[in-house]
Amino acid sequence: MTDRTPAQYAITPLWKMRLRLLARTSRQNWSLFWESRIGPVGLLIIGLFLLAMVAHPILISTVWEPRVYDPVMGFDRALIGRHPAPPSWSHPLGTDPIGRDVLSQLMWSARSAFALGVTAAVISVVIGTLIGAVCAYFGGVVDVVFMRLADLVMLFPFIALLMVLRSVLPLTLIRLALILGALSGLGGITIVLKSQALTVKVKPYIEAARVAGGGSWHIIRRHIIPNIMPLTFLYMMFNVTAAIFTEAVLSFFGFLDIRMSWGVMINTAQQAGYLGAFGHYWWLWAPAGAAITLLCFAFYLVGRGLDAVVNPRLRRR
Amino acid sequence: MRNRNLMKGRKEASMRRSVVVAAVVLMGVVGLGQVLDVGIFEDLTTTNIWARIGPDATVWNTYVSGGQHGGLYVSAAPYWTFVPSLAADFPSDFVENADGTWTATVELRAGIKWTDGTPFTADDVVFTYNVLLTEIGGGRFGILLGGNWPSYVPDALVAVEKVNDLTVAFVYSMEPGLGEWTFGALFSPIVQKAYWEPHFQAALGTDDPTRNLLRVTPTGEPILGGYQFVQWQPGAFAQMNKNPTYYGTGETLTFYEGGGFTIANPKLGFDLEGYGGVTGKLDLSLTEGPYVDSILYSVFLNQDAAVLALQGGQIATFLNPLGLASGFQQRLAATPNVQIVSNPPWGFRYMAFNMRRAPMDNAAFRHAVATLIDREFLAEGVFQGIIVSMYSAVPDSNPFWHNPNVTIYGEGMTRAQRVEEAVRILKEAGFSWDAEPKVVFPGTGNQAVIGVLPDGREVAAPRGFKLPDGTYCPELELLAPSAGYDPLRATFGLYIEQWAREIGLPIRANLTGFNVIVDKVWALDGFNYDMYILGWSLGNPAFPDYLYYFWHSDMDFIDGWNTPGYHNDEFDQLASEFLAAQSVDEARPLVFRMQEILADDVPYIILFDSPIVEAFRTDMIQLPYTEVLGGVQFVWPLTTVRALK
Amino acid sequence: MLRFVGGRLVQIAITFFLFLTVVFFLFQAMPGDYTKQFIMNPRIPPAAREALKVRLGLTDSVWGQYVNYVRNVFTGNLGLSFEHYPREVWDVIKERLPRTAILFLVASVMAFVWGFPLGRYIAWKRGQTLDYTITVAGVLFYTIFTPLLALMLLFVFANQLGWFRTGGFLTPRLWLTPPSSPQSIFIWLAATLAGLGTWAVLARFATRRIGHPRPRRLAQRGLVVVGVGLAGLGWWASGLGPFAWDIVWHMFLPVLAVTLIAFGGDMLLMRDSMLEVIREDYITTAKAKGLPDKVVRDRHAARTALLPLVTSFTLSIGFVVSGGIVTETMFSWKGMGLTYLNALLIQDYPMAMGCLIFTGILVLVAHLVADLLYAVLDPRIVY
Repeated sequence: MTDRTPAQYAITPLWKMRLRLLARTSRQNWSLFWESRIGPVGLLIIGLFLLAMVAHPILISTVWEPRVYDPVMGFDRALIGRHPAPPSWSHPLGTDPIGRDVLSQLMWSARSAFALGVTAAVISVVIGTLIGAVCAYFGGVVDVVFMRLADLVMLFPFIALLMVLRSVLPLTLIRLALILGALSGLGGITIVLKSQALTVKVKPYIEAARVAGGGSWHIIRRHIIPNIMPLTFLYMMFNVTAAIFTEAVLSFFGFLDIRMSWGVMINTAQQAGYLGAFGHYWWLWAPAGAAITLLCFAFYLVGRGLDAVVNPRLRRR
Repeated sequence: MRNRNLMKGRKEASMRRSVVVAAVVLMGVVGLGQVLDVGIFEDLTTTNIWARIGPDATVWNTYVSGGQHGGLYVSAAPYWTFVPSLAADFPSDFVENADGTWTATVELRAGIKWTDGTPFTADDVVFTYNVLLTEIGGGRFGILLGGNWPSYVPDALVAVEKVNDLTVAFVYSMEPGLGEWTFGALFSPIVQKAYWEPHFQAALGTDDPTRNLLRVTPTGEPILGGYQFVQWQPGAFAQMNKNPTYYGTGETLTFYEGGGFTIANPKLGFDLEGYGGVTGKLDLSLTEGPYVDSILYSVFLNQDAAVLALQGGQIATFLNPLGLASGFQQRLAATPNVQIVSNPPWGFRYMAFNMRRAPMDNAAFRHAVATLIDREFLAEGVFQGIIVSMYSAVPDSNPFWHNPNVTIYGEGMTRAQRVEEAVRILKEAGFSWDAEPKVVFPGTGNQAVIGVLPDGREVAAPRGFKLPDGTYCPELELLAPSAGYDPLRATFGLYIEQWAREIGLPIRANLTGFNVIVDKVWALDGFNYDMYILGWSLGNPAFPDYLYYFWHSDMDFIDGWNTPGYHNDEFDQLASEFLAAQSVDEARPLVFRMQEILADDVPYIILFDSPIVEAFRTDMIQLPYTEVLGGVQFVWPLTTVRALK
Repeated sequence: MLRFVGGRLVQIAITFFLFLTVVFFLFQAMPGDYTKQFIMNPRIPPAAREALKVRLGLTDSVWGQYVNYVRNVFTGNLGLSFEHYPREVWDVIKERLPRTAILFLVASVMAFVWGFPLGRYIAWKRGQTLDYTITVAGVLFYTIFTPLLALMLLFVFANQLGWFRTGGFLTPRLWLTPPSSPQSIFIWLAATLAGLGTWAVLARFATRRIGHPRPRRLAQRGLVVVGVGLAGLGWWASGLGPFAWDIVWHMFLPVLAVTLIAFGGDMLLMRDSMLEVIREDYITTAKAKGLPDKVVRDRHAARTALLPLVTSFTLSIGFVVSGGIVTETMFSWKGMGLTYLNALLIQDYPMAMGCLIFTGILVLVAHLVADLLYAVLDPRIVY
């Protein structure tokens, strides 16, 4: 690229420039991410879960008879009296205490875990980024109001608060995602993103944009938000972990109105009294427990991998 | 002796702490006598009798402190036989007085002593009832205390008077029935006048007498029962020691197969026969202890930990009103020295219809839903025998009151037959479909319900369910506890939804929290639900008065117990007669007829319950009997239990 | 400084008032009331239930209840618990708090003791296999499904090995004639720990003038050992030793569980924080001065790098109740978390509100303390 003359740059359209820049930074970032070593591992695990999620509906419509393999209503009559049955060819991870296929439940629940984690995380960072940017840019009353709001939200322990909310309205998956997203978005993330936005705000190019006549919203949209975006991505990953974990804990205590999830699977095993016998009946709790831990683990690793990309000071010396 | 040693240890502890501790630690290892370690799943909330029977009437408080206070009469386990306890005989018959009131007398046993050595007399009995009868601002003290106290002071009871030291007279404004007398007032626990009178008078002098009586923490309260409270370490354990002066120690209660019983108490020199005395062969003979010096109730906050503790010999058993889940049963059955005991439950889990709304107000609709529910498939298939199907409003575990000949919907039918029968019932009552259900390939693996349009064309599923008046049926909500609270009821909810949807009935199961269901059913502005699934545990098996409370039309008010809004004149009549009945033999045919009416009208569909399964370490505890309705936990604490370690 | 603290106090008061209001109306929005608790007994006449409502103060208007509530909270009255009626909420909290506090503090200290040096170490070894291995292990512990971890610990150490009891915080048979309540022993244990902590800090402070590192370390450790010995002697002399030991013995498993979960977080945070500090100019200067690596790492970098850990610690106080729910349930440790959970399950609203409000106060105070600690740890921060 260095051998191009300024004239060549001049005739390149702006969008092409941007695209090229994007491609270049992406390549750079990817190699940084790759160097982190743990990031790609996380990505691989997430990929496996995605695969399981996609495979479930295919299996149900081809080889798995829904009456037997439905994760909620399935029941294998062939094994009456033997449930929870240990793994076999027809049930690779065995059946649960009321005759449902564990593998099917496990794969099906990946979908709700992703839906919950990603929705909650996206909502939280969207809220956090917007408010953080606005607070940093305008300051004053807006800043004070949202920062005190953040303080207030952070006074509430989430799991404890969700347990209260459950009595006010039934906690379905969507509601849980919305509430979790809103809570973490208004709370800690806002503060972090605001302080990041503050460092961006004092950069010379912001001043330049203002002098050039850029409106406040324009500056926030085109300059501040893009510059805090990397950090936003980082927090998104950590929030996915938090959301999945919260769901699992709430389900474990029977506080959610969800028909099937990894937490519900462990809860089912516990309710029926199969949880504490570690040598036996492992298929009732180990797959679901491992799935929760692994997926949380994977998103966290990706987050840490991204950290190396986002946080220039952390780069290899 | 053992007990006194311990008491002495307590006193010294305050004086010479460091010296005594060494002794205490040694005692902890050797000199305890018989100690029984028992697990419970909730902490105590009080040690005050007024709170324990009142606002703190939890099953956990009852397990621990239930054996402290004696009563005039008890329902003796395991048969729930009505027998005199502090009383010397059965109560006298009622006599009408000149002023229109009715009086009966109860004789007390002579020679009974409180734990402080003072004699038990009619004054204590009269004091107990007079506390409950005292009128303060807002009503009777007993009513205001809440909990179970109100049932001991029925409205018709106007006075309790001392005739002589060992005779008490009960005065009623009208001749009372079983519910107000035998299974009402006579079951009250009795407290000591000398101990409680100062507390009661002090409380009366304040602006909130009930609260101030409830907040008393009794220390050294003299009692009459077999076990005496020693200490409670909140969140950890409670300790009960045997009452060394217990009047029942050595008393033998013998049941005969003909239904009679005898009581022989050498300590008091007291003998009694009842219901014919020696009738037929001896069935069961129980001699009271208590044989155990101390019972330690440790609090466990999750069942898994308690099961591990039982397996490890840390506790002899644990008490749980719901019994053991199947997994625990399987795990414990494989543990050496652990005995698994299964008993029929005294309760039921049911589905209720809100009969104030259409189409639940239509008997045909209720019959059709009842026909669709295949309890046997769930009980024997999905749940593999961990639940038992139920059909009548009185569980069959109580043969005296249970009527085996009530209507059972869809009995012995296959899935296809159930569907056809439900469709027939609905069509006959004027319900209709846009596409009517039809079973195809019955009895094969491909069996399915499809819809048939009026012109004969077939569609994938039935649709457009219409009420007799031709309007489409709105979506109906079936509230059921979520799997986190009760997986059994949650699964029933899901299957009922599936079966109903299969023939086009727009029922949607809403699996949600217990409190959410309760708040919708007993909403502040009336009953706000279509259908729900919950459960009841049923009180004294000797007298099923819940039949009145659940379904009598007088109980249909906001917050009342008649949740379906069930009104049937014949049933109301029978229920009232039943409460006023003077004997169980008189009441029995009434109860049988009431069950038939309920099965025909289906305000509730009685679904199932699970047997109470309990586990005991045979090397630590010895029980006098294991067959008892509702399980051993239901009759705990026993004075006939022995500890082996 | 004073102005700063004053300003923070005003802010705290306002935030607390808002918090109180949110909590109150949240619980107001919850349907139902306590009388439903008696639903299983159909024989209670409606009159008795009405009486109960009056007695528990549920018949006032919402605004009346609100004004009353705020006034009560500010006068230190959290109301009466429904479940433990007529006990006061504050009284129940007083009973449960020491148990949770001691568990939480010990676990936090343990997590810090492991996490801080490990994080410092792997930050220095950045990019090496050891760094990746320890990081992955830390993340794994950080994301493990807590209830399962707790059950596994119980199964292995209590059931299979028989080293510990399966829950609770004392052995009933030992406590048949207790010379003192577990309550006061908990409080004394907490006091002992606090005393030892202070002692350790003082020991460090007193020995810092000793020039040579080896005798200095020796003196420090000697003093700590003496402190522990003195504390042990004190307990032995009081005669309460076996009882305190019984409680400490029961604490092992829950503390281990919380430590395993928390240390990963501390370690990762310390690692990142160190990496940032290492880039600072004053570290470069220190290195340029020719100071040994270890001195730069431990005396210059680590001190500043501690700041985020302090923040994380203060924030975690808010999760004592939340996090306690899982650990306390699994180990039958009846503390604040379980109290809150149970209060919610049986709709004992005053109790649940009391727990939330109490946590709120703790967090607010902790935030203030954290701000002040910043100034101590980082000389560059001046208020």
